[in-house]
Amino acid sequence: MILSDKQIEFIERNLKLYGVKSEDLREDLLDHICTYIESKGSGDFDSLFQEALQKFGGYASFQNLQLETNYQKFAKQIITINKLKFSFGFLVILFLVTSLVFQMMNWPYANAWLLCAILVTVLAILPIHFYAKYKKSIHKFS
Amino acid sequence: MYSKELTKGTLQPIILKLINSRDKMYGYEITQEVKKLTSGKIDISEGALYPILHKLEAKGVLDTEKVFIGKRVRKYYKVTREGKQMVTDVTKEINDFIDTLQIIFNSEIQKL
Repeated sequence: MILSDKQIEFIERNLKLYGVKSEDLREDLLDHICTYIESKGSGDFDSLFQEALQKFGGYASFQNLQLETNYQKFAKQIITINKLKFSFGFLVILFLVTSLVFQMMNWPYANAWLLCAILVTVLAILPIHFYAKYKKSIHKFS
Repeated sequence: MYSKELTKGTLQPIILKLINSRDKMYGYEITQEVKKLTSGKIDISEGALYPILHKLEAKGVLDTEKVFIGKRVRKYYKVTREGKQMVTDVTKEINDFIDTLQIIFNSEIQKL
């Protein structure tokens, strides 16, 4: 069966309603469902549409599909963010330990090391942490 | 049909290899082609296919080309020049994996 423009719009509206927010993913899913319905020789639109939805695991699974896609797309970025957080965290600990040793030995510049630790925390770790939180919130990771 | 547990780790290599063997492919075509080639033994679920395709696109392994079919868009995926190396690596790894499985499943394992 050939789908009419109205039927295509109906499917797209439903995908939006089911939680497929990214246009990129919606284009893929719309074409997939349309091709599935069109590949069936005959039958009524409603039952074929329901059949196509079931292939995806029902309408409830579309939101998960969106979340999973977001996660897959940004997983690499999250790994980089975590690596950066770990590296800067290690640097802060190193500065703190150095500062403590300098303090105990009454060597000069103990406070400078402490200041370095504070600066790295405020200028690197906190911004990275809040950036990661912001990213997670806009992509709604599962 | 093989269980999901068994095929889960091989979906990405299968998809990559298949797209690389053609010039370009779209989502529905990939699922149908895999089903046809494996006589229905491997059925890529739609829920697993698109996250993988989008991940590979984000990594620069796949590139897309949009073609308008009436009111809707069909996205064709193709392997980028950088992605070709990944296909080679993944094919090598899968073949090595198959050989390793052969050792366990297709030969007499000597009892200790």
